[in-house]
Amino acid sequence: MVLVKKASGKWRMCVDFTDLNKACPKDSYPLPNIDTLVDSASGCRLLSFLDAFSGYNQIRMPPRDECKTTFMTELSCYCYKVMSFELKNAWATYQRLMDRVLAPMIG
Amino acid sequence: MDQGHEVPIHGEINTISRGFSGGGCTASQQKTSAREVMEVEVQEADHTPDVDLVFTKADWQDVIPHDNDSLVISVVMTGRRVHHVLVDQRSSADVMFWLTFNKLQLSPDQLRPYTGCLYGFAGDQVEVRGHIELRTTFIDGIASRTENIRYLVVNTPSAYNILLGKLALNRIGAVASTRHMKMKLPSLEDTMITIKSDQKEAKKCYENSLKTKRGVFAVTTQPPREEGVTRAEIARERRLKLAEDVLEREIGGKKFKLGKYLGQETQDQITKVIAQHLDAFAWSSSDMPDIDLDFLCHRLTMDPRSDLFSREGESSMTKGVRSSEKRHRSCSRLIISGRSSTLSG
Repeated sequence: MVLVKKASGKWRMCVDFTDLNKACPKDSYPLPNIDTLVDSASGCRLLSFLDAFSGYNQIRMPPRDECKTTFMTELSCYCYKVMSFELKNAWATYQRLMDRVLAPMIG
Repeated sequence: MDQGHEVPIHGEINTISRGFSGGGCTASQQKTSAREVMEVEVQEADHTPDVDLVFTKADWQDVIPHDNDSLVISVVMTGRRVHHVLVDQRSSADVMFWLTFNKLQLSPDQLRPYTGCLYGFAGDQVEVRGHIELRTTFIDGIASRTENIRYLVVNTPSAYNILLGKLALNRIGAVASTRHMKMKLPSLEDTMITIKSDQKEAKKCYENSLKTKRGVFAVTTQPPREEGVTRAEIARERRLKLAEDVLEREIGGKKFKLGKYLGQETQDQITKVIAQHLDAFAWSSSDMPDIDLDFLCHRLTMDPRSDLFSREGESSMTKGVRSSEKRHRSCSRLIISGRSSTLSG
């Protein structure tokens, strides 16, 4: 486990999930294509941006998988109840969430 | 620029006469210019750069064998690197083509009027839109030289972006060698700047100029390096900046910020909408509802053939859980022993 200082001055905790990630097959959920995004945004009068607040960490791990993310610190052992950045398929799950939430708008 | 003699091309400028080298369009301007010649010579004697522009064997070595290609370099102007600049030692005018002018995002208002015409090798005339003086930087990676160069802006198709004629070359004191595919000029610090011809581009330009179609055209928005501005810095500058002037508003103990530039009416409208939907916003992390596990959660599907399983000699999903439980137990043991050691220590 390594602590990395973020540009904002906060600390980011990085846990090494190499072994776990190796054991997980890749989720090949499609990421949106940038060209398509730009195309669909063209011609609009307003363009608004939203930033999610700790987006990844809003997604829960199912209880039976929580223990797989167990990591050690000097004082104790912890596991994630929410999705961690280091997990291999985190981006895919996040994209899935966004697609589901915004489905009526994406069309 | 030898191609024009073999293939009849409409609108191609070869050797260019007239332009500014004669002193101007009117007779009096030309007379003034003739008188100035003497003065210029005296002036130039003071500014003779103290450097010998020498072409050596080494200059010859990195030249790709070619069949008498022309010298095509790139220069930097208005913060952009302009490629396909033809060093044309026979042309008396420095010419910028209209498309280049547009690509540099210069405004036509900056053009000063020029009432003359340019004459090509075959005697054909080309309309001149005007002239513009631009700071042009010649850079070889180590040293650079920036000079004001006056371009005649011409609306005619060309494979090149700019033609540098005698006027500009004399101004910067450049010596070009088509054999060495290089141009050398003195810097203001009396060092030699060597500008290599982009031979591949030269070839491409040559081929394109043989076609009557408008060919390759490239003005990249690469920032000039000598100013010490990196790409990242420029990217940062171009990013949308957060509104720095913000107003703090408060409704029922909930604070939010509004950009001042929005104007009073918009500010009031936004405040009204926020007040109506106060409960729709999360004001602290505890206001944020959880995402229902049934809606979406991050499942860790594991490949039963992976190392994590085979190492333990079992191949079921529960094994993975059990192994991490084992680890869990072992590390809690570690902690206990750690604690006892700190206690005893």
